[in-house]
Amino acid sequence: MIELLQQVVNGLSTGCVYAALALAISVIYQGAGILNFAQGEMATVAAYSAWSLDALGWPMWAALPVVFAGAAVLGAVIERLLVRPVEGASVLALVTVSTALLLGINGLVTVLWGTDPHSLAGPFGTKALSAGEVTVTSQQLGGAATVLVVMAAVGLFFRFSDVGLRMKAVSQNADSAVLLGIRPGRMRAAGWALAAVVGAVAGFVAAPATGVNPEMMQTPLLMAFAAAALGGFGSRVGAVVGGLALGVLTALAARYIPGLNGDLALSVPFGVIFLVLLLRPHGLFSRGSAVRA
Amino acid sequence: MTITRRSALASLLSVTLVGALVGACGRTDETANASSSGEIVVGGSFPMSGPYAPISAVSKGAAAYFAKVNAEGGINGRKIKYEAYDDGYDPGRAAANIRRGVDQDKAQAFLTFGVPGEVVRPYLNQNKVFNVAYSGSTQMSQVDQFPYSHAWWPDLTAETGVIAQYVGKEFPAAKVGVLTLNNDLADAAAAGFKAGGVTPAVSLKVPPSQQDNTAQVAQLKAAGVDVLYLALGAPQMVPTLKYMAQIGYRPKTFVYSITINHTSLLDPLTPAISKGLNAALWLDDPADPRWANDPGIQAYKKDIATYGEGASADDMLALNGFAGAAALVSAMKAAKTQDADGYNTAWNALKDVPAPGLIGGTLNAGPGGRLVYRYQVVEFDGSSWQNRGPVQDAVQSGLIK
Amino acid sequence: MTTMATIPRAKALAWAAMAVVAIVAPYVVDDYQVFQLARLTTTAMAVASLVLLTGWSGQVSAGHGAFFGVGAYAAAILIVKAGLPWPVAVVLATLVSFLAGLLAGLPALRIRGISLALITLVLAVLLPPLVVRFDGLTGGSTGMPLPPVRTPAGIQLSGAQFFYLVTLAVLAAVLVLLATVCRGRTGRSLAALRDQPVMAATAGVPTAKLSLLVFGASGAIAGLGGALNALAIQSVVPDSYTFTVSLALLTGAVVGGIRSWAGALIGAVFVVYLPQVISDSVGDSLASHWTQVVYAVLLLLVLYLAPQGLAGLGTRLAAVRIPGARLTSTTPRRQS
Repeated sequence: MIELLQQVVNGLSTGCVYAALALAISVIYQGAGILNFAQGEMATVAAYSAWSLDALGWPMWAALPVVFAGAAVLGAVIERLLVRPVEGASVLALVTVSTALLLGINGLVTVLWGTDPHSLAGPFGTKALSAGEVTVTSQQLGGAATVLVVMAAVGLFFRFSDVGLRMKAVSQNADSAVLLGIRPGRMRAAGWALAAVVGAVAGFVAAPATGVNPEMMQTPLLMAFAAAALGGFGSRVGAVVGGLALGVLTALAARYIPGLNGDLALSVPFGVIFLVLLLRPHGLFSRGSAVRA
Repeated sequence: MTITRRSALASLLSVTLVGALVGACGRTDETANASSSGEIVVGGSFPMSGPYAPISAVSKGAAAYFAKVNAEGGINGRKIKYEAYDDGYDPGRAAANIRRGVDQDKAQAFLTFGVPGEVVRPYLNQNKVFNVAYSGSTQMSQVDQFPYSHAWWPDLTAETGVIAQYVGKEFPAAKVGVLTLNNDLADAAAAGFKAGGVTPAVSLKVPPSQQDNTAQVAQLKAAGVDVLYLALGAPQMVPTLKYMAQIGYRPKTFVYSITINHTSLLDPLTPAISKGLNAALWLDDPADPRWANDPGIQAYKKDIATYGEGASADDMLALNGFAGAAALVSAMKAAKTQDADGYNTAWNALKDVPAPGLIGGTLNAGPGGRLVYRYQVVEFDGSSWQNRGPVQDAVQSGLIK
Repeated sequence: MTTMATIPRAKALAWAAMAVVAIVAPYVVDDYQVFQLARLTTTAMAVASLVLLTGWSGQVSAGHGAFFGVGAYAAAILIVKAGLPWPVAVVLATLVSFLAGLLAGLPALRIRGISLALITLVLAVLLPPLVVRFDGLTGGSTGMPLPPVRTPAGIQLSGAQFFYLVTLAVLAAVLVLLATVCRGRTGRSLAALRDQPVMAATAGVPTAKLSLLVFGASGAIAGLGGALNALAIQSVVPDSYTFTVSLALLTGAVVGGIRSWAGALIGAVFVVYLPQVISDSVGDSLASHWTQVVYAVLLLLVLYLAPQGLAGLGTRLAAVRIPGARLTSTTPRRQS
């Protein structure tokens, strides 16, 4: 029982990373219709930047605002310079562009920072809190709190802020938004910037558990896609719930399903998504149109 | 007049068949590359890009040794030309590199790494090219099937076997756990612990892409594992050990020797965590102060600084590549003919040949066509590896037959 | 009339020239280059299978490397464990891949677009650990070596030359078959399935059956390519079938031209040759990390300059040269 609780806690902690990355993916998908394969690599850049500033002796609390601001700029620049030329192209062309970005950013990371793995403790210290036999590290708690705050902020942003509402308007009907004087291009760039920041949070929360290396976000990216599909690509809440659920499911499957072990544990969350999509093709939280062309 | 695509393709099909059947100017399969004068070409295929790119230090270490041999006059006056290609750990690209080395560069020997190296083994043997494989896989001991392929790394089974024997002696009541990648590391750990007479209570496997192993650690802790063998990818070692320390879980931990590196493993862990780590080493750690005055290591550092193409002398992988190249050169120098058969006979007859940085100091040909069988169990004291017990020979202790 | 015929004729001439080069090449270049050509032809089959599935029927597969791997492993197991001759094993492996394609096509009856891409990606992610787990059959993480294909007695060809010509013949047959099928009624039904699935169903196109069959056929062709590829490389290992291979195949198909058979060849050139060409030209091992960056930049450039794929660019250039020429149904239309 105690181990079950411990596994759930660890699963939730891992799931927070998936959830944040899935949220970032869903923000871009809603805004620009792109399934962003490069989201994980953008998060990796953020984690490396934080590591570099840490190595230069910056205190984490000073480094993080710089990293997040940098991520926002990077996101907007990628959208303006690299994605804009294929705006409105086929879904397939967009997927290919984001795959090219994945390869390119991953390559640039190794060019800039080398391939030696690094580790980053983060700002939450290295303490452990125990409730009975269940242990939670301060990194896990701090990471979860950060992710929750960011999610709440993103929710409020889209509900109440002027920019957020404009972004929603563009994603729902770009033509009408233009009539209202909104410039869709700017709103899409803003969406990428926002997603890049949310993704950067994922990278920075993941770093203590995964270390900082060029492949650190590979599995989280797959899981975040799965989470977004589970919740429904159109639903931010769904992406978050999906991420947390997948974190817990994977941890429990590895431990409690006989014969599965860590290497095949992925088959359980993937199997669940398979079933969910068969029954509800638009995910658990998304209202899809009756017929999709 | 419209030529349809269909008819064009149909003609392509038929011409191909005719071409194949007639074979007007075809050729037959060639025989071995050999040369009696000029340069000796050594090929290499290593991951220099992608997730396994740190392994390229092995190739740089080997290149440095060949350059040093050339600077000292070569092999009986003949220079070694080392041509290494990037395979990105893609077996298809490795297969292409090998053909390029054999068919175009006319390589007489070839250095390979890991699983792609196993893939290209049949081709190298069909074409009689001597093959030194940087691989710990037990399968690389199949010299009866592939006589020209020899593994430089010792059989991983020996490493876990030596650890198992040590654990069985020092911690007879321990509950042993194993956490490895789901590749040949897992197979070797299972076989090695069995050969060493220890049955692990928990054996966990994770895919190489999995970065976050907190769930596995929780399981090991809950199972009460107090001796742990940890063989993950290099990037996952530090976070996993740090997480264990944070939750106050401190089993006696043995780490996979190939992942040992001061810059990327021991330094980031800080002495608070690295102190008390154990390993079974077959190669010196060039960054460890205890070997700073060792003449072999000193010569190695000088050569890497001169010829290493920017490789770090502190990187154990560079020493690994350097020493493997030294073994190949020893065989080349002793060979009666500069071809695969000559190298093969010489390699299989190497006895008490000194090699830089090797535990036990010398190479001796033994079972499975390998040269390295000796291990030293060590414990890290926060700055240096300290011996635990005597040097173990895996052949003498019956782990490798 | 003359202008309308011009482009097909130019195209036919291009195909004929390519065929001549492909047939003459193995007699001119060395066995290493011939081996590379065999990697090219076998990879082209996998890319062509994506052109059929994604380009023609509009079902995106981000996991086609899985079928490539299934075909390879099926052939390897049949040769190594069951002792079958390689041609028989390749035919059976194609059948196995066809069945795998049918199974994978089941979800496509309900799911389209990005969700389908994800489901297929999942297949590709799960294949390597599954293969490792069933090591008694598959050889586990270090895979299985395959015996080299020997030139039959009486033919003056090296093993590499012979096998390349075999793969070339198979590729030609596959392309002829696909081009023929996609020209006729089936092609129109596929286009309807892609562009107007609901309308297609109302118009009497058996969408479910067609959708499944296309998935099966696509899986079979990818598997056929995988089986022949494994024979060329002389081995199967899980590391050859990681999900990045699937992404490479998909990017190859898009870069070549997702609705073009010539594009399948260009896409395969991208997948097989480009990494190595870049690796050679960026210089020594110190610079090898740039390989991936340059590859990505080239990908992006192609997508910007030729969003319909490089094959489409060829058609457009032809159209520029011949004013008034009408681009007929072979021109890829923009996807919705």
